[in-house]
Amino acid sequence: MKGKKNVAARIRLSTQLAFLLLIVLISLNHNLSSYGIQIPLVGSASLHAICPFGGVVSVYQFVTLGSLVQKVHEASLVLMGIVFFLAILAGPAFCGWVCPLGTVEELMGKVGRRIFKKTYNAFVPPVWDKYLRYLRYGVLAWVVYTTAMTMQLVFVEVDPYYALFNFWTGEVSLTAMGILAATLIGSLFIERPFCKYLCPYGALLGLFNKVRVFTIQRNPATCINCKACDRACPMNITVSTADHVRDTQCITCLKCTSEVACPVSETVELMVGRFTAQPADAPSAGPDQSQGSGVEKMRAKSGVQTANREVVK
Amino acid sequence: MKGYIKSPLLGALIVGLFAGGIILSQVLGWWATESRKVARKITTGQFAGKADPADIRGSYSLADVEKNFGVPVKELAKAFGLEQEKAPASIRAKDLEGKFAGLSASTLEIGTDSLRLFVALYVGIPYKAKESTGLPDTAYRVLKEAGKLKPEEEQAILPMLVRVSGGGAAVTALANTSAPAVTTPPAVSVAPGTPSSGGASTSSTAGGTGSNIAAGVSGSDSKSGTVASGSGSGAASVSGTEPLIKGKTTFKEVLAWGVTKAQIEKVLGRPMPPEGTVIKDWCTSQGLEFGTIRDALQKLKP
Ligand code: SF4
Ligand code: SF4
Repeated sequence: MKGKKNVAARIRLSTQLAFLLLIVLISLNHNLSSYGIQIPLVGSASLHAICPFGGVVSVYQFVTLGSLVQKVHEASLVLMGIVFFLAILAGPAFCGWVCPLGTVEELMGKVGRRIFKKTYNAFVPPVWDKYLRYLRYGVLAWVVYTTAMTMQLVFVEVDPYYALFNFWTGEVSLTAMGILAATLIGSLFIERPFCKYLCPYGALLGLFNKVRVFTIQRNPATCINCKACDRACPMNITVSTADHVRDTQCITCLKCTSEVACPVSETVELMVGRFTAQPADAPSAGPDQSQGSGVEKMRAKSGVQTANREVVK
Repeated sequence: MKGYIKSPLLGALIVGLFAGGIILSQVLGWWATESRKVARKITTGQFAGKADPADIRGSYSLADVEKNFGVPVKELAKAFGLEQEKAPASIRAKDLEGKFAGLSASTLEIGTDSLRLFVALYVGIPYKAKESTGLPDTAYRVLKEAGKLKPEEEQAILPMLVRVSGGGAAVTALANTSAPAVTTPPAVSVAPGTPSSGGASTSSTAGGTGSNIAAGVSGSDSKSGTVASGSGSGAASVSGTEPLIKGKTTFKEVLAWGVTKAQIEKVLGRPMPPEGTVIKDWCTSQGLEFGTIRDALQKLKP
């Protein structure tokens, strides 16, 4: 079982690292091309040209004037379309599987988790956290509005993603460098702080969670209420009480699922349709009804404890 | 009916969607990571549907301009003194700034915006150039010879004219050129310490005629080698908007306004060079458009 879980986690990590490597190489190639050097088989586009968020901020200008914001090119619109299609199917899987900044935040988070153990990702009081999570919608509104008004790529001035892959070029604004530094340091305490509180693209993609076809679902009939899913969720979503996760913060990382955290098979899944009705002899939900030996064994095997921290849904 | 997506399938779906989507868009000709150099169209008014000269960007080559606006490269090269260049068609709009960088003492800049103005006049589409934009006298001649200038347009551009010679290394008063003098209001010299150094003497002419930026080419009485910029009653709008940052302004002078280094670096998007560096020279060395940086820095003045 453990091996299977490791495989699932490794598949996601490999996908993330592959996209991260690709972006690093493209960015390097872009900067090397001005010296006449080329890394074979890797494109040399500017990162603006292949950023799907560039497509989003250009939409207003594209619709009204038929042109794209400077530095943004058609490739951004294509990528925007791909990411939206993916989001309709499976929500912000782009955030959980592709976004290189999210990957770097997660890698920093692994260090933070080693340092702070169980207190990691639990530093922000829920009462603040609840409101801070709306911040990214403010950022989204600001970026879209100012880009439409100025026809300039204003977000580049504060964008930690651009800063991360161009910090050596001297082209990055000090503000963006500051936000990148804060993001990296913040990741030692909080899982994906930029994604949670500031990312305008994550904010937009999160809305797809309300309508996505494949959703994270929990089967209350087989759930043993161990709350392993809650503790695994990098976005602090309380999966253990939801039948359907429609939270705008879910990034489809699958960490909560029976493939990874949930110790009961076919209990938390990324799926379409609904779990079938509870079989008469299956263990029922709730700790009080889960005293049966099967469940106890399951708990002992998984080594999970009931979470006592209240998390934002 | 229910169906699960497990990690291997989701991973494959994501990689497949990206790879497939990119390949498909390449097949359909939608994939572009560089500008296609297609100027946006004007959407309203009598010029609706025509390419907008205001959308000419620094990365546009003269060939791109010809493709979008139908102005022949030959005419463009003649207008901007590029006839001697090996491949004028591939010269980009932003290269003009470097080419005319020797005019650093002039308050008027020849660059991308000059090209926009020239093209707009050539194709007969109204365009409001920046107040600091200059137009080479060679461009004026091309427009005149091609019969592209209406009298009111001619009046409006006269104060923007800069005489270029020797590949843009020198600028002198238009009175000494063979460009036809259209009006002859008195040129008013307003620039004490007229710049003239290192063989890069500069001068532009402007006189007041009362319209927005109207001024005239100085007549035969104008003195060679002076910078005669709009002043006095008729050209108040010219002098009133004279750029604070000029071709020879250094970062030190901007700091002297009380602007902080951090504010400047925010505009530059990179560390500020030593204070004594001339802003325009630095922009040229960094491949940045001086006009854009200058305008942004000027906004910092308290
Ligand atoms: S991890 Fe699985 S069993 Fe435990 S609470 Fe979550 S859904 Fe229920
Ligand atoms: S709910 Fe599950 S899939 Fe969504 S972010 Fe949390 S752990 Fe990942």
